Amino acid sequence: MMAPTYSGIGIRGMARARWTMVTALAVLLLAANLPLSAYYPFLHWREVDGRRQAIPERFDLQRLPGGVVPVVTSRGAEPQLAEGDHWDGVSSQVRLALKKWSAVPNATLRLADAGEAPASMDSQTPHIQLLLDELPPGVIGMAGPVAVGDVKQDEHGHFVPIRKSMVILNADLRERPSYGEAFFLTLMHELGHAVGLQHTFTSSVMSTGVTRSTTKADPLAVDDFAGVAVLYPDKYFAQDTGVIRGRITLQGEPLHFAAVTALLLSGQAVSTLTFPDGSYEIRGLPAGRYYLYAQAVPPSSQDGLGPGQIVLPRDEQGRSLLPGPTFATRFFPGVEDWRQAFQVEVQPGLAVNGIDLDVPARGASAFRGVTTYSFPNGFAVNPAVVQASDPERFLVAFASGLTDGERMMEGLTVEAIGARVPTGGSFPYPWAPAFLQVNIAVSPFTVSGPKTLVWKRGDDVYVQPAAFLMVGNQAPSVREVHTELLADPQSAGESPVSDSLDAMRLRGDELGGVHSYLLDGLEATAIAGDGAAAKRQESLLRTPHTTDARLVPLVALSRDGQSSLFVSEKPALAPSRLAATGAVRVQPENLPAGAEVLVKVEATEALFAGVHVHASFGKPGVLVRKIWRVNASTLWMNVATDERETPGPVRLTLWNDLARNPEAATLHVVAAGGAALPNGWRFLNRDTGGPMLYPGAPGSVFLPASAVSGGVPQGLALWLDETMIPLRCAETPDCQFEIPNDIAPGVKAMTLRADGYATLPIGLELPQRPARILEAAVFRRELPQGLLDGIVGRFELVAALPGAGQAKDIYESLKIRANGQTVSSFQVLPLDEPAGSSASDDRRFRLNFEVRLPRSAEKDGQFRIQLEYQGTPSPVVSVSASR
Amino acid sequence: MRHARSILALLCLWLCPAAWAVTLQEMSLEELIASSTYIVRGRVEGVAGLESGAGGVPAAPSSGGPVLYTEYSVRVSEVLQGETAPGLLRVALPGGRTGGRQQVFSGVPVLLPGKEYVLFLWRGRSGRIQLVGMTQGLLEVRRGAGVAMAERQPGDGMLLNRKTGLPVHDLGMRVSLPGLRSRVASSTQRRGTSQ
Repeated sequence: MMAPTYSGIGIRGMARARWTMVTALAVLLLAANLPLSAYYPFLHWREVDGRRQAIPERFDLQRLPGGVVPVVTSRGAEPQLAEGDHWDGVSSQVRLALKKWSAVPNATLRLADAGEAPASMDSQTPHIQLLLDELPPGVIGMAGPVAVGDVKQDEHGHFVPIRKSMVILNADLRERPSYGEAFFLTLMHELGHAVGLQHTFTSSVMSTGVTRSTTKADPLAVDDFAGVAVLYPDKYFAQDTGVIRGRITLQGEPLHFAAVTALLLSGQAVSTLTFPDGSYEIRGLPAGRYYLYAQAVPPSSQDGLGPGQIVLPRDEQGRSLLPGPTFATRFFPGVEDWRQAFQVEVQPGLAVNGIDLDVPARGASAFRGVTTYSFPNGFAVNPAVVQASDPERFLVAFASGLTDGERMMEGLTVEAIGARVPTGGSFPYPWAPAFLQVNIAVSPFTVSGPKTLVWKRGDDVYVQPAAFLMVGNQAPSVREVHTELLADPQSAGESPVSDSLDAMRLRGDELGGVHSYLLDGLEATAIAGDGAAAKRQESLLRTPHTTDARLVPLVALSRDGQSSLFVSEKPALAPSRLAATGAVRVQPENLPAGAEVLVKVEATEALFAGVHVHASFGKPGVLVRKIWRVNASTLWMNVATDERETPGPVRLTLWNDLARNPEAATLHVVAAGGAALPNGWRFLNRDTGGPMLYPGAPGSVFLPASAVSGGVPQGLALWLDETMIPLRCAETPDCQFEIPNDIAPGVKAMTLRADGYATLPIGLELPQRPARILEAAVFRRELPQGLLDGIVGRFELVAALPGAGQAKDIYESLKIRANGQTVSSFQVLPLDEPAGSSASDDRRFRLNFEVRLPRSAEKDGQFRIQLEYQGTPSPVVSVSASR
Repeated sequence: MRHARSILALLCLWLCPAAWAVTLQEMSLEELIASSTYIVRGRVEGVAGLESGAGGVPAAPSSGGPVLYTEYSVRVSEVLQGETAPGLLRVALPGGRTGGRQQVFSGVPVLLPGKEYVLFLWRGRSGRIQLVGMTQGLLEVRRGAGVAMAERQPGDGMLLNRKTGLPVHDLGMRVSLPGLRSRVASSTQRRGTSQ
């Protein structure tokens, strides 16, 4: 039976194509200043602007240097490590976790490693402190905000700023090696609390333990993405994602603290909890058709906390608003059976309102969350991974309410959404009857990805999103690691040390599906041009540097979410190179508070021979914002210093791959002021609104008020190395400029100079010229009502791509966005012959593609198109639709 | 029941601001015993330096840095393991309220004044006495018509298996007091023999 669909415009039965009166209204979300909700942050229920609002706790990114949340690591107790583990390895896993939380689509949250600091440290700069400390046996970690301020407001709404969050991990890591899944996912979970997220019920990394189903290979689920993007949205968030709103009532009365989940047929889910007035709002939804259901949160097992171990919202007096009673699970529009449920169509930039549910009262569910396991190689893996080609496809589940310890509960059924549990396919697991074996059947239409289970006994229904992972292949495994010595084509003549490079050749199984190899927490660098090797189940990687040439744990992670640790309890071991040691010289040695400056680091030895270089100062208020490895003994880095940072010495720590050089140099934070030209100036690209500049880009410089109190300084100009760029200064401190078209790409030292004075330089990476859209046409086509609703825009562009070679190579380096949506497939047709000798020569191409768009796209008849070629975004072009 | 709800509401009133989540490692009774410096039976008398008398709410954290701790005074009536005399024992649990700062940790139990518990306790290098495995190391003593029982309900927090690192269910625990004494004694003897 096909399900009816609720869309932003109407409701229609897909089977009978009948139209019904609608209560749902589509609302454009271009005005983003809406009450924050969705997912579940730490909430304050306050009256603001004359109405009660849910106000979340989050970091005030605008008040942080570079808009980045600094994370310092401290050792309150000396860590005790598992065999083969290393403190430098732990640090690299922390950096990897910060990188994962910093890559959430449509979010501006960025977490940066600020280095190691004493456990007793504190700072005026809001930050996260990750503390390894003495905790009682049995306690692995804990996290959350420890200090918050008063309610503030920015362009995204009201919020309570977090001043400090802490993640505390037990320093006894003897049974939890840092390279393992458990350590990393616990770290990710606790960092999620630190940035402002509470528990959720969709098997994401923020799920309460037993149902979590993310893996190190794919640690964040759509629910995690939505949670972060709602708190820290970028400018595309509202137009790229959709919203479902409604109200949950219990026999007509508003129901507080009901979990409402939007579930894609593919198994991905985003959830939230209802407000005290019963309303809910799920934001950050990718386009698609969702089932929507309300489910009671597991009751609290702890005095002082709400259901699901979640802190309840509280009012001005600090009183917690108590949750509503438990109830029976219902799918929209009020049915118990998911197959009779309507689907809600979500489109980018639109809200679907009025998705209301009235639920019947019921005692607490007997199901207290279900944990699933599988046994790919004789030992348990969680979440269960079911291989489609395996003739014996099954998972093993455990929860209260499934068995009585020996027999399956009478009347219990389980179904899989997106797969099938055959009749009679669930029974006590023969090897451990307290567990339940659930066989999984597949059809030619079964696709890989997370799958949902629906457990039912009488009127007790429990929906478990992403209960297991359907995969097409076995997990990758690494059987052999051999060292090889290769010539390094990229460093010829640069330094005697790096004229050759050590490499390691891996051999194993299922390596074709690997998306990254981790050496501790370092993402290994594959040596290019070895595509045939992948087919031979081989990979060639650069050997990392360490301080002691130790053997480094090597883990392979695949695109389908699996890990080599699923089939081997121990990681492979990879060789490493001994890192060079030596002194460094830095210029400048003083860092003015409140400014970002370029610091040049020169070493006497090849301290930066590795691919991955990193630097930190052990202070939240002093952050390395950008780093460039100029050669094996030279680094450039932009260092941002918070205006609140106390003047005094700061110690530079440098990393060369996995090798830490903790006493590299000492710099000094100095008070700002006194300079003829202050250093705290900013710039941006007027076309993109971002900081990236490129040849031909129009830019603006913003001077601090103190710099222009007596008028704009005489002869003020912008300099890139020794190239002067004139500034046109209006009466405001906003001066405009254009980057010359003929300037060579590369890293430049950017300064402001006037009448013999100069600011300290800022490093600027100037990429090559961006692509340009020369011509654009859009032809709209309305889709027939029914299965595929909406309109299709057929785009024909002519674009100039600088330095472009063959059309087939362009597919990998070009991205196209149309009205906020990334175009998944497009056609490239060359219009010119290949460029001449200069890499900066333009070559014209025709780009053809189609995008399905919401009906709102035709509202103003305008479509916005942007190209991103080799990482450089083009100016946005608006084009009118033709019918 | 009504009394219990009002206590819960009061606890929420005081302790819900600034919340943390705790990830725990699953511990068997044998592991709890082996990890404990002391195992005692006692009754909570209150909280040292009580700031607020509202419903006997614990609110006297001893701040040892960014994490606030609440110290409970436990009148020890029986020592099952460890070298401590019956008397008052101060047990510190993460969370509390001081100087306008409040913290609550999911996974950390709240000890209710007047209640009798068996506590599995650990003294670290800091000298602070804490619960082993947080909620897992606290059994409430229930005395009915028959033999006294020490028990705790299953929890919903984050619990990971010690060896595999996989998430597991907290199944709670229920053991008779004589049975517990016997298990502690035999465990101590076994460890003594193996050493």
